[in-house]
Amino acid sequence: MKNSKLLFISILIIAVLAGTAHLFAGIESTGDTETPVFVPSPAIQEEEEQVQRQPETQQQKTNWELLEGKWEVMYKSDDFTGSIVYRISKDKNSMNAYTVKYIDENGDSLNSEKLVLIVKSFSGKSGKGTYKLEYEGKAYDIPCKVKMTDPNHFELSYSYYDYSDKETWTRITE
Amino acid sequence: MIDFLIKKIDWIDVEYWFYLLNDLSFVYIILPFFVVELIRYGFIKKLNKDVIFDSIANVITFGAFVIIEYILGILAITKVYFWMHYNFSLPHLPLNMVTIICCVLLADFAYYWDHRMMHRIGLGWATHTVHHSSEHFNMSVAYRFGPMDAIFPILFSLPIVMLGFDPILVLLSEVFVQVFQTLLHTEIIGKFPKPIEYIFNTPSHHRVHHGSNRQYWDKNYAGILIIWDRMLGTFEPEVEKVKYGISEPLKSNNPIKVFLHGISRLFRKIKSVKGIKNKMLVLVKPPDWEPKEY
Ligand SMILES: [Zn+2]
Repeated sequence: MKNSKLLFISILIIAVLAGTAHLFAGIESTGDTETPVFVPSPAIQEEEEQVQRQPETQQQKTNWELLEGKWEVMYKSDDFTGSIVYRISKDKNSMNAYTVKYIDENGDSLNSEKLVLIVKSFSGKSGKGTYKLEYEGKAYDIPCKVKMTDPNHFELSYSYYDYSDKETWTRITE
Repeated sequence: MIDFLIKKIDWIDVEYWFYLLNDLSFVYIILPFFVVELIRYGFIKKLNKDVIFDSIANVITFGAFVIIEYILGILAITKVYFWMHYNFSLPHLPLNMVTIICCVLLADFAYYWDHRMMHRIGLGWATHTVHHSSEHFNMSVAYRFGPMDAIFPILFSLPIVMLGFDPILVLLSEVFVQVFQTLLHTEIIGKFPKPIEYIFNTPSHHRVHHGSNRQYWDKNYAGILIIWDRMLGTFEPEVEKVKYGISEPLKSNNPIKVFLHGISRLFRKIKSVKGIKNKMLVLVKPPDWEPKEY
């Protein structure tokens, strides 16, 4: 076979395979399934609630209010020792927690706004959701559980393969 | 269907699948297979010292290869791959079913060309001849590597990284192709049904690749898919009984000789040809090339 023909076929194969991958990557970005990091304006929120004014949603709405507000979690690990302040607010069909600031052991703080937790269902006592973790530069969406121990504390637990952990979130008023 | 294909997949899951396929397969398929092959050798009265020492040499070359691969991994793969990925790359691809499959197929295609090059240029053959120098054909032969076998694949996988695929995914895909390839080194399996033999590389196709029979030279370079050979004119079916080995037999099971015989033969050839230009050409011309003046 001539070299030019070998080159032509090879480039064609590479173009088809790489093209397919990029094509499907494009589809994903238009039909984005990830929850965008923004807080809906009250108007949108109200509209949303009108659409789903069903008894169960109504019930959930009041339950969800139990999670709303600011929370603080203490961490002690090789990566980070200190605390992180979070803000939980209502999104379309979930409660989302965003970081507010990181406070290290010396008391220095760093502001940040990043979506870290999506609580998809919550009974008032316990719930389920997704915890967004970053590990060695890669992002992971890990299923997690939320358990209210009292109105000012809840436990966030998750396990993934052989790794599991539990965090205690404490309500703060600022 | 399309949702399934483009659903974002977590890294931890991908790493887990590849762990099952790439790493654990040694325990649940390769090792048991090798034991069955040894039993078979016993039955056909071929379980002799030569097979045993050959297998031991294979494992030792693998150890040497792993050490080189490890050093290179720290130097080249983590640094060069990521640097390329961040500086000279198409938009980075997300992790989903389609991108993973495309990456494995591209790694398989890169393997084809890497393998073809190792057969067709002097420097490549100096390292790859190690793998072909065994006169046996069993799973341990798959672990018989040459000193530069870890270097050449980098040239062929870097372009995949530049196409936007995650370097780690490229690496895992490469290992997957290698593991699939490993499973082909056996005489136990005859031929699969026609459609499988048409699409996939099989033990039958790969026996041909290891043949020293003249018509089997430089054929069936494939990793996973034999269709690359069919498309690029290097396919040859298994008809005549395969005689394993290289045209100039090694006749030694000394692991050091096994590991370095390609390089020492290359140096001898470079010494024997006259003129700087010819000496350089020995490195890049096919292994059976001789300068015209001769
Ligand atoms: Zn080969």
